[in-house]
Amino acid sequence: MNVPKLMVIGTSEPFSQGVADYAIALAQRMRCEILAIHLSDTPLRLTVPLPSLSDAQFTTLALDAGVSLSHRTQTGPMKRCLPMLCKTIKRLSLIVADAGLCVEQRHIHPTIPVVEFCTDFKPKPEGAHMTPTKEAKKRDGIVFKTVVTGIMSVSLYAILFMNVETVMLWFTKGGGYAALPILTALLFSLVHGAFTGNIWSLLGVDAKTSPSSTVKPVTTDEGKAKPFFLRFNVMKPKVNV
Amino acid sequence: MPETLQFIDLNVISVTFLFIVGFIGGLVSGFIGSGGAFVLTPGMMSLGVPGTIAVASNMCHKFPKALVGAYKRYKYGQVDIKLGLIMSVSATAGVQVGIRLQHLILDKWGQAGSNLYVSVAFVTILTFIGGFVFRDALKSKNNTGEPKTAALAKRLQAIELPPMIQFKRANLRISLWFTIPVGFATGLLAATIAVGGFIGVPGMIYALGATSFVASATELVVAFAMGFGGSVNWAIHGMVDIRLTLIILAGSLLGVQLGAIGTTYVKEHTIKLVMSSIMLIVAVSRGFALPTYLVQLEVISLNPSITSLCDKISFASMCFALSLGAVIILGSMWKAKRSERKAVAQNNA
Repeated sequence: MNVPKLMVIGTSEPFSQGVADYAIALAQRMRCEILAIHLSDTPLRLTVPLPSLSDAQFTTLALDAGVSLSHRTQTGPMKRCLPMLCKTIKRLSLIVADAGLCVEQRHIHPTIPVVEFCTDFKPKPEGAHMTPTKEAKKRDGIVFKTVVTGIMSVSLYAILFMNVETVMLWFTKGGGYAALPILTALLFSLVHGAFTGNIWSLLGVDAKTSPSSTVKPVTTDEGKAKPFFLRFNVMKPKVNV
Repeated sequence: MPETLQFIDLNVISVTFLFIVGFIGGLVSGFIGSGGAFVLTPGMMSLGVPGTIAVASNMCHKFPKALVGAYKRYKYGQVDIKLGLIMSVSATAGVQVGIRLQHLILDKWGQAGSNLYVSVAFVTILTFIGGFVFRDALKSKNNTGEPKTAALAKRLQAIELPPMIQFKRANLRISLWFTIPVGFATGLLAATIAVGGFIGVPGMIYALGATSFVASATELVVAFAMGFGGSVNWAIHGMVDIRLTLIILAGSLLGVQLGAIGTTYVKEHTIKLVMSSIMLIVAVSRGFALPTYLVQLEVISLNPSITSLCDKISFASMCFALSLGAVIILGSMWKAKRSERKAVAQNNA
């Protein structure tokens, strides 16, 4: 039967108790099947260790709640696995990502909502929601890229202007030499364009994306662990069209 | 290359001037899809760069800038590549016709006549279109709902004249025959006043029915195509001063990306407001340049000090037009960022 699916994605480690409870509660409400996927090639969870449960326990819990559940392990990096899963799984209604996984919107089909399950930190006022460690890593990445492209850009300008007489001699010859200024302009635009783009990112000047909003967690049975914080992130790649 | 063509010596002041003007021009380009060229060319000429080299170097910086701007706005989902490429074909034809027309006028009435033709074109077209867009921007400022398709565009879209083309990103379906005059006029104006977008962007909005965001973003694709073709032409004649091109590019690539980011912070009417304000001020600016050409053609006679003053006012008002555009863009971004931070702070409280 073509039942809607709710995909829970986690690392190679067991799923956290909280995400299992939440996924089961959602699946009950939405009358979905759960497809629990372990992505074997993801970085280890960077959040505080959470109470977790084995696949068998997860299955038992789901069956007790009247929700059908199947497990799968997917080998490969997230950026390759997620788009493939979104394409191949029919009637995929929702994705729930276990704590510590940073799901990037470009890996998901734009019409499939993603819930990132987080329990131990405050939400950032704007932008993507990540663990502090991942946020620092992302910033380091931008700094690195800015420095590298900056060095390349400055080097190109330096090389050109230190040899300006030779350059002007060849670049103004005309005829077939027309390729020289054209290709030079293109090369500089690629390198310097990347540099300037990184500068704006480093300064925190980025395009405005759709806002994220906090959602109260769905209550499960009494006595079970509740998430302290849950962020519902609607992936909307297009802005101002 | 003729011996008379000299490439200027660069100093700190001229480099700084070109960088800043490049940045502001890029900022406006990234935001409204065109602009900057009309200040850069006279700006370079004011540094002593011969006219043809100024035009050639400007054009050689325009196409890579348009490429970077188009790519940035493509990532935001604003560029309709199909529409841009289709319009580029007719725009290229328009550029060729524009160039031939310029040569004709140049042969018949000389340089002064050619300059007069360019200035009259500036004043009439920019006043008419700029006024129309400005009025529409003020009207749509008060609209809270979705932006409405222009009445002319609705009528044209309803006409089933094969081949009908669906433009996904622009979210419109229209006959190819109606895109041709818009593209052609863009190329013609680009060849005449160096800024085709002043017809291209309003044409896409009011004749074809695209939103301001899509029109201004797609115009960058057309600008790339026209700029690339023109640059190759000038480079074959050895007219490109690569130093000027790269200095302007250093500033404009910084500005064009900021302008593109700015479009995600503003409402549709802001783009129309910025574009129309710049167009109207530039129209006034070119109006001040008319007396000089009329004197040269011996149609009127004026004291040289008056014509000199008019030229200074003309140049200053062109710079003002660009600066005003930059102020509106940066101001809108800053306002939007501030309200966003306020809203988030309130949510967290």
